[in-house]
Amino acid sequence: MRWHVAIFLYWATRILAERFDEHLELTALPDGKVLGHWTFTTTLEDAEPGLSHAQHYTLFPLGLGQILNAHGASELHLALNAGQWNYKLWGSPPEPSVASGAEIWTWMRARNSTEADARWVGLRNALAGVFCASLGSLDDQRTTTPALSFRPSVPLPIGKHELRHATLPAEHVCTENLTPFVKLLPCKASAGLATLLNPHALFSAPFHGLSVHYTAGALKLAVQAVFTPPRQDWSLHTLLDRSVPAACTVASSSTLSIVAAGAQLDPEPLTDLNGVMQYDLASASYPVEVTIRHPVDTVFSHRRLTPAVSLRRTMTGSAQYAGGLLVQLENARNETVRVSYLETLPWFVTLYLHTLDIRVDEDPRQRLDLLERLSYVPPRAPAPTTLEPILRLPPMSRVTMRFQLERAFLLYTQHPPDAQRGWDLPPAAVTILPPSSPPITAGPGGQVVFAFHGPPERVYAKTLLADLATPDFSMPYNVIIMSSTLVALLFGNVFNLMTRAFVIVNAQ
Amino acid sequence: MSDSATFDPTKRAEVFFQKDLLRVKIIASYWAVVLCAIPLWWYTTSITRLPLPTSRVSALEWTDSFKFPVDLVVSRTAGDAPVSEAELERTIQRRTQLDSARWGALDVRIHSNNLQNRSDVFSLAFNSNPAGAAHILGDDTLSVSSATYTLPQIVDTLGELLSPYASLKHEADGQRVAKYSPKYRLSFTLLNEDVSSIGYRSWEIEQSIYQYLEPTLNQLRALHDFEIESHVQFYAPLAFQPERVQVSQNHGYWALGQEETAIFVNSAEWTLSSSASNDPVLHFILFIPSSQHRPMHVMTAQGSAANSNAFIIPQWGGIVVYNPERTTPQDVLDTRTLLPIFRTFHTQLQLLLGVPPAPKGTYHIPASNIPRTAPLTRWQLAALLRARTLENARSASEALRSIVALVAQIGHLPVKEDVRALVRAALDDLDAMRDAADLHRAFSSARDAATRASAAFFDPGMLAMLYFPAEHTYAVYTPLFAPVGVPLIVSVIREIKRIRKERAEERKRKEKGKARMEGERREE
Repeated sequence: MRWHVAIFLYWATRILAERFDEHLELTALPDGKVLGHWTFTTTLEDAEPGLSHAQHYTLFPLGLGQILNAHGASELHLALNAGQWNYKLWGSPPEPSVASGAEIWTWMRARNSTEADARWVGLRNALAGVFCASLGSLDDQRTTTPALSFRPSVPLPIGKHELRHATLPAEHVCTENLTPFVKLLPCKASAGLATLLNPHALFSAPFHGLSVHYTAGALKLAVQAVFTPPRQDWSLHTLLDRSVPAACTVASSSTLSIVAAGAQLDPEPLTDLNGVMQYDLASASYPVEVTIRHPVDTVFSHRRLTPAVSLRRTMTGSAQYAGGLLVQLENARNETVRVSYLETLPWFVTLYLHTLDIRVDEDPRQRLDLLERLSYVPPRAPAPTTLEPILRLPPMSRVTMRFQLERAFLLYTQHPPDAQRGWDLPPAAVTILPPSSPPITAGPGGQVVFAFHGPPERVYAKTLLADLATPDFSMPYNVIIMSSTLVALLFGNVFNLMTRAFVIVNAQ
Repeated sequence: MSDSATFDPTKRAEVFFQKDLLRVKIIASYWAVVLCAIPLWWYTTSITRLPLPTSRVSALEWTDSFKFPVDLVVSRTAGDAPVSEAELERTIQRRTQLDSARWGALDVRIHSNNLQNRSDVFSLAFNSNPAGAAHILGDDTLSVSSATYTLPQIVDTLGELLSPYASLKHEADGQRVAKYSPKYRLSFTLLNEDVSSIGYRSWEIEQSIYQYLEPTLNQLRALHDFEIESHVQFYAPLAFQPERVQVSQNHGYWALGQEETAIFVNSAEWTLSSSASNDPVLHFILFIPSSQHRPMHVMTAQGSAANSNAFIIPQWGGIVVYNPERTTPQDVLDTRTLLPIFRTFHTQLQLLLGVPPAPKGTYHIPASNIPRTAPLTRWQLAALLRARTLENARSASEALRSIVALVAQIGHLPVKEDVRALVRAALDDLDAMRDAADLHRAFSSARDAATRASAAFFDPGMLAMLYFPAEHTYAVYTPLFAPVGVPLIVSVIREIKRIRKERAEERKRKEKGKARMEGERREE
């Protein structure tokens, strides 16, 4: 009977071992726009999905838990964004993944890369099913394993893990993604802060994105969007066309904070810390409605912290075959910044490493000494190129990297649908590294050991379109019919010449 | 003839390459090339269609008349058995002829001694209980009171124990048993209609499953693998408005009639199960109505409130409606409160998986000391195994016959080596099932046969050519085939015409010559 007691004790500790917190932060941005950042965090206090055979959840969404369990994902990040995040005006985004389109990266338990590949296929298809997004098309052509830029945010559990990262810049975020996203929340769209996620307001915002983050037993669903308020003074209702009708009673905490220095709020906030005004929705009177009034002629003094590095990337050259890539990294800090730059290019865009050219500002000298380390995975069709240099950016400078590249002439069947539009190149990303530490070391058995963890500061560049030479897609039939006709003509001539009776007619 | 002195270019036979024989040779060689190319063309464009073992498949009709051997021992420990083995055997045989639906799949053998302690034997015993007492059902025994036994009554009870499904088939609810699958996912959901008014934050689900369902699941693991999952939903609105039944001035309830239960599951709003795997899911839902809709009662077909307050959706799952006593939101639904609910889930699980109930007029005394470890008797498990074995064998032979029929019907359906191997393996499994020594082995062979037959039926390779018909190819190549084919055929026709004409002229000339010679002779 002793093990019975043990089992009951274990169960007793498991009851209410899950916790759900929700938070919304509305920030007045310097350009008059308003940034909304919803976070819904579900924490499994003792276990993580995947350790037990049976799957029992109360607050954690079962559908997601099963997927994480089935595919051995220890850490998962999925982001679906639309619009362009303006780093200069809006500062660092609360969720670092702001590349437009879809982005997934995950650390999966896997004994070898074959197993990891199989799990990756299953994972992206399952996620595609859950979020109604075309994540299933994140195939080998788009999957990379960057060594530095996507390190785990917390130490991974024991066991060999592999990273897979893929982006789909052409993915469009829409209501069909938001509906299943909201259904993963314990209160769905019935109560709590999720009721404010009005698709009309959200999807007409200049920038909006959904993201899912799972790390070590904690699932964070986040929504960030930059809204344009109709007037200088706004309220939840004018901004989102909704107010919170009822509290999500299963939430352990439910808070709303408004960051707008010098603004007057109605009702009075619970706390006011340097312009961060907070409400506790557990003790609020429902329906919750907040009005923000700015005194006349406010100068928006609330500057947001911008990232240390800004990134620009452009394609050069006008030919369809040869071209160039120009990357500008600007360090706005008064100190040297170490960054790792990540460039992934599809296999048919060949990058010539020997043409690498690094210059600082207007200085005509080559500055290859800025390059601390370079990791390069050449393209092996259909796998893409991965280029990951670590650079030291001098203080207050602009570093320009140039490459020459060639675009291949694709076979008829290799073109994607709507080939004339061009091929969306994945967004490049810059990750800011600690000033000096060995980024990675190889542990026993080739396992990658990370010397540092923690949420990264990452800056994304705009996506680019690679304009490929496209054939006329009715070509195969034309070719077959043309050559058939030619062969038939030739055959007819030769055959006639050989078998027709030729007689010189006597004119007399 | 072709002497340069007498060369006349207006006569075509004069030019060497215009000789009739040479032209015929040229045409013949063109045709020879075409004819030689046909096998190559055939070889490169044909589809692999391996021959299937059709004769073995068509011989599969034996699965419809398959009989399971059942050994029944008439126990003589308690004195003299009042019934002789021969008499019992005769009655059963007569019954088999009359009621083939129930007895048709059984081959009952009666034994008088204990068969060297074999474990798959059922026994019939007699006790000295007073008249009118219920039959006592043990794990694998049936004990009948010798005071009141009648032979037809014993055979009736035996029939219900050994083949309980014959009666179910005629009823509509025979359809509620889920189709056999080697693995089921059992999904338990605590569904609060609106947790802010009334409901529970969580439930002691793991303990409850362990206490109330695990023993039964453990026994059923001989047939299926189970994966258990559970979750809680806090806002699960109904898609319809239940009917209000007013009993008195201030007392009434909300009724779920037969029509409402059919549309009860609101699949648009309730996220009940994930798509993490393709195994079939059996749902068990505990629904807690909101304060608006409480109390809620499930109605029987007769229009009264059902005792269990639960209903089954055939092949999908079971739903229990629970109206808590207290009307405030609470934290945990404990195992004690869950006991009646899990009893209902237990019954629903048995009904959905086709576990036969104990026949009426019998009383089950568990053989083992701890009753919880084995709630199902060997009678029930064996009957279930037999039913599932037959189901699998029939579905396998049906799938195999469909494959053969389809392949015969659709000419361009490819049959590759993997399909043929699967078909052969399924046939071997069915043979193994027929020759199996015991029920468990027969069951696993039939299960493998069904899995392999359906894998062969749904093999993606069989669909490969369906969407690219041969007509398409011909249409694309018409610009080549038509201009090449027409001159080839026309030239042959022209040559034949010419040869005929020449022969006719020759004959005419000969006849003319003959006539002339005859005329000359006559003149002479």
